[in-house]
Amino acid sequence: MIRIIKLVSKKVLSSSFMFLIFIYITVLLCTIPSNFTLDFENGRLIPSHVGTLIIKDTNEKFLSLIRFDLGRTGTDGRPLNYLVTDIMKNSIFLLSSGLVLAIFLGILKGIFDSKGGRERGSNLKVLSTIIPISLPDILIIALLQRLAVFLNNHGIEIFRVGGGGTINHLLLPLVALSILPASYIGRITSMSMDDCYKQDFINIAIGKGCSNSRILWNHVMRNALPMIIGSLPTITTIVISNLLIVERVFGYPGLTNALVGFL
Amino acid sequence: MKKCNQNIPLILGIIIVTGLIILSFYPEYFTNSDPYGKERLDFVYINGQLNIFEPPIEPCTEYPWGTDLYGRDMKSLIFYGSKLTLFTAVFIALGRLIISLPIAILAAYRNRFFQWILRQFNIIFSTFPLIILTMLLSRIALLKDLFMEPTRSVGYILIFFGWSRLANLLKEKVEEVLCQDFIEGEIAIGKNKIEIALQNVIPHLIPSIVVLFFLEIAQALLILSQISVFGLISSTGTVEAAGDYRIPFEAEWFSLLASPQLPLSFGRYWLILYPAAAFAISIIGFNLLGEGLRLEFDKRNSKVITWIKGIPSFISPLRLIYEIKNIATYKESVRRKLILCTVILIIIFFPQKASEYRFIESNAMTTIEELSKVEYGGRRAGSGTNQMVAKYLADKLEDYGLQPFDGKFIHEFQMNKVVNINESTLAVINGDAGTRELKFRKDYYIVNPIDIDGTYDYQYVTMEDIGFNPYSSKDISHLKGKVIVIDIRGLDMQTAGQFISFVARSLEPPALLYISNWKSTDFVTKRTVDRVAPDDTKTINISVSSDIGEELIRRSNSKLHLMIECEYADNPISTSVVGFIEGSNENLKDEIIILGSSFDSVGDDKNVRFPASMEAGGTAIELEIARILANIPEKPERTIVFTFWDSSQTTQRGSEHFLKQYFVGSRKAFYIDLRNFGFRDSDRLIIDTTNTLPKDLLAQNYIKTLKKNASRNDVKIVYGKIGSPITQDLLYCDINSIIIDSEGIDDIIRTPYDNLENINEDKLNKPGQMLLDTIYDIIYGGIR
Repeated sequence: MIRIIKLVSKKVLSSSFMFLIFIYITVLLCTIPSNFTLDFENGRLIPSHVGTLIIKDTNEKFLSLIRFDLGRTGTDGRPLNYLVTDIMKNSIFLLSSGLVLAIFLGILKGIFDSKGGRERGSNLKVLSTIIPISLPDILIIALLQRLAVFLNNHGIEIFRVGGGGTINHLLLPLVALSILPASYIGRITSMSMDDCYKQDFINIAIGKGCSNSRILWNHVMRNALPMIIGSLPTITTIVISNLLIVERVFGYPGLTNALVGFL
Repeated sequence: MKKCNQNIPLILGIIIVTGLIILSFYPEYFTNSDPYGKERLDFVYINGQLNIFEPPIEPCTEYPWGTDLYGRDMKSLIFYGSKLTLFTAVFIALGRLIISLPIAILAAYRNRFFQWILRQFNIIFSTFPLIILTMLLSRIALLKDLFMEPTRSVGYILIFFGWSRLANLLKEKVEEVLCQDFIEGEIAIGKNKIEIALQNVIPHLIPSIVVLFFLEIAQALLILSQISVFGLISSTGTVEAAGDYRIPFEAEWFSLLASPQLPLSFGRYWLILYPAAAFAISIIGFNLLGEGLRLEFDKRNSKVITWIKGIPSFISPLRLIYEIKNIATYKESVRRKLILCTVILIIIFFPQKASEYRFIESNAMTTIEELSKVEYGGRRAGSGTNQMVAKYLADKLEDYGLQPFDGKFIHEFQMNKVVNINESTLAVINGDAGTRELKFRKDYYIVNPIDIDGTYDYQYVTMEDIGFNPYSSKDISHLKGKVIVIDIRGLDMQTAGQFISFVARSLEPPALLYISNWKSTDFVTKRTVDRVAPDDTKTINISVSSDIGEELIRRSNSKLHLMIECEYADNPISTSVVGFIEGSNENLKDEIIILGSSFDSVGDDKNVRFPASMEAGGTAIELEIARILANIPEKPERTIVFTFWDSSQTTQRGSEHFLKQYFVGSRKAFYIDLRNFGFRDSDRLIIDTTNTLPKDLLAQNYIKTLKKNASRNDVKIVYGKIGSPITQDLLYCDINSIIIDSEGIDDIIRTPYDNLENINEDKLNKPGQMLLDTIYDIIYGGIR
């Protein structure tokens, strides 16, 4: 027992240490002035800014970050803590709704794409999985916005092309955000389902006379689910990357605006 | 092959990727126009109604995919941009592969350090989006300085921080190979780990590497498309360099996607849809190719896998030598390889069609030597010496048998006053610290000169000190009569201008020194001719370099000695030279080709010579082309006009005077401007085609002819923006034009080092031959 506790605490400590180092490096990258460069003079490299001052600045920012104090904005002195939490609400809402929608659509697509234990030509399946994951977010957004403009011109005013505030504003960003991750989840689901269908216990279940839906939900999905859950961290990174593009192009009031403002 | 036919993803992938490769190498066969030509503001009457066309133009018959915000043809931009975009993606995939492969093998061998590195990178970048890191890093100036251009710096960032996913996949594959039975056999016969890695693991990995490489290209394109949305790699394609000299740029897709929310919200869908679709098709193509190959390799009896594995030994020269030594056994293989080599060599060294007429560079060199002579005094317009140069050129044209334009070779007009600053002294006198003398045209230059000689107090003031910003009423009487120093670095042009005029108006100082954002040069640089100060000017404006400016701020409240000695030329005359050869084809002779160059330069100072030999290069090449074409007995189809401009450096340009008199509204005419040629260290020419309308197909064909002749004569060309004073005259007259200049001459142009010693005769030959062939093809070759 003590050994397990030791092992776990060692893991936790090393992970936290790595996490802190990672945060420190991120703060350092943000602190380095954008005009920082090295000049080559008289055979020596001379930095344009004093390195110790940058490190000192980074340390201060890092410590205040650990105390959950983000300081104030440079322009009007408003507390950043409030701003970030306020803005973050919007982004997190969009992100989590997008993720849920992506998982839902992805699993449905995965079930649809899966061979379901039958031998079938793989060409169509490959095409139907590759083409959606190859579409850049910006193309999806451009097409969705074009559709929204078309619908609005014909009196169907469900979607808003940009901005935020109402549910109507949220619809297009949500769809744009979830298409790509849904394709990934669909692909993983169908792959893991196909692996399950090859297992012997499926044959036994069929032999016992289980219905198709019972095989699907009770035997296949139960075994495929851990793999789908295992892929969620990667999917979340994809959703976050997409979130940046979606928020930027739809002018959604989220964290991206703050980030781009900083740059 | 029968098996392969069933693999639709592979076939589709091969078709798309082959199409992209052909497109990126030969875009000119798929589009009519050049990607840099810009549509201008145009007024067209349709059914009696005035219509204003302003970029961006929506898809229409002339522009099937519309134009971008700058008026460039979207279709051409995408087709020409495919090369840089795809190469960047391939470069990123290759870079990641080179980093990943050794790390994956070492990690699979259970090297703890590399296992740790791989794990940490995976953890970090599976939670932290690479796009944010790229945004954070690419804003730092150091990276821009290191990698010179944004495409490259973003590429390196994506390589160094994005390899872990690929390394992880490769590691799994290596582990699979290491678990195989034959590896135990290899260990048993005494192979060490390196031998196993090189001789067993890597050969078995080749199919996986090929698959992952293509998938990685698709991944790289996907992330590049995401980064493009934030405009992080936009500066290569959209640089708008009015007033700057020789800025090269290359078309790519990234800049087309920058700041997309604006065009989308205004309904200009074509600005985003087509570049995004181009990205999508490329990504689909590479993904299908990768997945198709994976499907092919998964087949138990795949021939493709054997074929791919055979490639390294097929192209290995050692293998070929071995086969030649044992020719009896490998007769068929050697025969096949030798045939392939011969075909490749024939393609590479296939002889080009020889030029009809040879450009003689020694004649051009004689002209440069003549124009660089001391007696012409640096050929400053209005100095009187330019009339001698014009006479020399006119005599040459007459000798060659060209016809005088409108009855005369020399087209002259009276210029206003012309000035040259012969000498200037600016010294900071600071009691104990001593006197610091600044160097004229190295540390400072004078914007509007007035004769002056005196010692003054000087003071550095900020915007706040004099109540300019924030606006307030300040007592500034103590600053009256002093020389004022201000800092305009970091201000935009408009604010800087307002600040300068505010100081000049409210304080009327004898001199106003403004610290600008440029560094002192090592040698005297005369960027332009000195401009005459308006009659009512009381303040001399002086631009001071950034480094000297810092010193002036430190020594503020000292005295300053200022002396300016000017030389005025009253009633000067501008003398441009024009001759022509008339076209013989009644239908084509109005499609006039104008070849032009400026023979004037900045002129000598009292103690400093500016021979401007490189600037004479354009005139020299033009004169030699005129000689050769005039000697051809057969008349050309199109008319060609040779123009040698005077006073191009002043505000009263010879080109303006001539073109406005004879060529207003001549869209049928096409102008080629030759600028600086012959610099020994310049290997490439820079060509500015931005002033040619993309929809003018005839002009676009001229540009294609120029490109064809450049590759035929082995002239390396890049595209860019060249600031030429003649551009505004051409735009006024609605004439399409291209400007040709040498690349990499910024440091030497208009310095005393632009002299004969730095001119290489051979550097005149290829550009000269290229231009001669181009002009010949255009006026004789039947281009329609």
